Amino acid sequence: MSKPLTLESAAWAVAALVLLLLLPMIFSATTVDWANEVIYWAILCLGVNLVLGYMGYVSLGHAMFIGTGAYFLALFVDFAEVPLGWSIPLVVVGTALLGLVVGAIVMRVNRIQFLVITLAIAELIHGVFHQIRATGGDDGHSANDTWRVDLTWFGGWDTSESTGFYYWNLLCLLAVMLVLWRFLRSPFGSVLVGIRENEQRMTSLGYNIAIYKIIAFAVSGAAAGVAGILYAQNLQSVNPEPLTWQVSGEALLMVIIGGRKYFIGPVLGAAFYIVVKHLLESITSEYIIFLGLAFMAIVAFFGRGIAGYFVDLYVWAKRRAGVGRPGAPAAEAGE
Amino acid sequence: MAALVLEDLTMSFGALEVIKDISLDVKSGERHAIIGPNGAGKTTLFNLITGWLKPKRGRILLDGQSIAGMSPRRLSYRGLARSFQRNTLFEGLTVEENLRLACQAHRRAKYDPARDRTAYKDILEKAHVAAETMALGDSLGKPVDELAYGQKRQLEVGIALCADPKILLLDEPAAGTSPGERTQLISLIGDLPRNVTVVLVEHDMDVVFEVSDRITVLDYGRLLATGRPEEIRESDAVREAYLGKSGA
Ligand SMILES: Nc1ncnc2c1ncn2[C@@H]1O[C@H](COP(=O)(O)OP(=O)(O)O)[C@@H](O)[C@H]1O
Ligand SMILES: [Mg+2]
Repeated sequence: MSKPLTLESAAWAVAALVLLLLLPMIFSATTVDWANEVIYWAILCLGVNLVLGYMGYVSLGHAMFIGTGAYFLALFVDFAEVPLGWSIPLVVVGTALLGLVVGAIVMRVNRIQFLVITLAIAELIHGVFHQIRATGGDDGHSANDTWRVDLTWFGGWDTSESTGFYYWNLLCLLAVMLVLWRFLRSPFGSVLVGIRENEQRMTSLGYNIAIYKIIAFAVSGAAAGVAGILYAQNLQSVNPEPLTWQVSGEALLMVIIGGRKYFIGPVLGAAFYIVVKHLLESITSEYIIFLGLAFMAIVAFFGRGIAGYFVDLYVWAKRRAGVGRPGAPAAEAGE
Repeated sequence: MAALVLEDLTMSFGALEVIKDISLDVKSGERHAIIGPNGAGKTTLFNLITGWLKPKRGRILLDGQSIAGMSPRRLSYRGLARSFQRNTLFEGLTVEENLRLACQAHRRAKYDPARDRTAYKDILEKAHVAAETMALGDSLGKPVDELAYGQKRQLEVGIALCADPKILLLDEPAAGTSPGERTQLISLIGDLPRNVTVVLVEHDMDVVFEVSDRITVLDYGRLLATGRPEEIRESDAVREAYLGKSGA
């Protein structure tokens, strides 16, 4: 059962938010750039985890949503010349529609077929954008003007520089988290968990699980589409790279490292992965080896991911403090 | 009035005919037991009635209407609910959430994507009532994987109850339980409201003769006999084919 949002967990959330708001003032400019990278990964991972952690299906194709999200933005703004303010919601709708279509294709397949078919569709889309001349094929396409939202009317908020863009990213991350949080705690969200736990029983009870899978995939795709928007805005260009299967794979890794049973897991996983990657990169060019070792260690020693580790730590601390109240600030995906 | 009618039902897996020309009436409100050795076709019969399998021949009538071609989902809306021989639970979730999902299944609330699930107090309340009915009131917050085996079987039945079924099909509800657990489970089933028709597969003869109004005996997909417990006990055919073998 979902635990009510207690005063204590609200306090934790506020503390985290304050820290995130102060981040550009505490850390260097490089850190802010990293944070901007973390955020689009985090949003992609939140989308992935809706399908993985909640519904129990492994998608190897979420690159298609972040990738097409980025391309849709380029196409709407630079080719269709739709104003940026309209393009952004249109991209979200577009990736949601793609999610509906893909969801309809995979709604009746088993978990292995699901993995293979999502991969195949993503590769197909990758191939298409690789070939399209208008958007520069393999080289990609750079923004004609800017793809960043003009928020200077709001107290001079300048998204063209790193820190201002960071706050825009943060706003998007919080918005996505709020929507997904409500969605996953709703009756609809509870059905997705039921599908993860036992599809046969859900059908027997009278649930139309195919509909739920399709809509879950659309919501998940739309979230990843938001990540695509931020990716394109960050680079001020698009290219086929976010459409590659490696991106889908990395997102899965981040989710598992962060803890797929926890709502916050994907965000922690993305932050950990990107920060560790950059730290290792600055030390050695063979960073990928150490990255691999670090992840194996995490999966081996912290089976429930970083979020799971924090929850255990929290419970342990409580017990030591003599409060002894079981329960954790992060809501478990299943509960 | 017959709640459920089977007419010349036949079903085969490839060349293997596992249900052979079965005709049967289950009366409204009846406690009807189906017995027969392993492999007799009892589970297959349930799968046919609940739409998981399609018959090769014959008809199934629910309240006088044919249910040919209806999916398990649609049949659940027609008042059919079942439990499974092997635990079919939401293992990672609490008892409460298992029952809440079950109670939500026929409600429009199940499509609500925004409100908190706990805002639907009536659904939650109903889940609690189902828990009490199956003597799980003290285990609401427990994850299923921490339940004793007998409690899992109680939950298996409890989930089926949540839909307010007109007909409840219980496939070996006490399978694998200890004698104590079995006694409790059977008494819980015996206490179910009389407006629910219960079709029960069960191996324990003492139990069957105690709780059922009528008994149907299956053997190798064939219906050997249907009748009141004392008729079945005295039937030569049944004694030969089944009761004799099981030593009851
Ligand atoms: N999916 C299946 N495919 C092939 N044969 C099956 C299948 N399910 C059951 N059977 C066979 O059908 C017969 C009846 O099985 P079942 O209905 O499970 O019996 P019971 O529940 O009475 O023990 C058995 O011989 C079994 O091996
Ligand atoms: Mg059986």
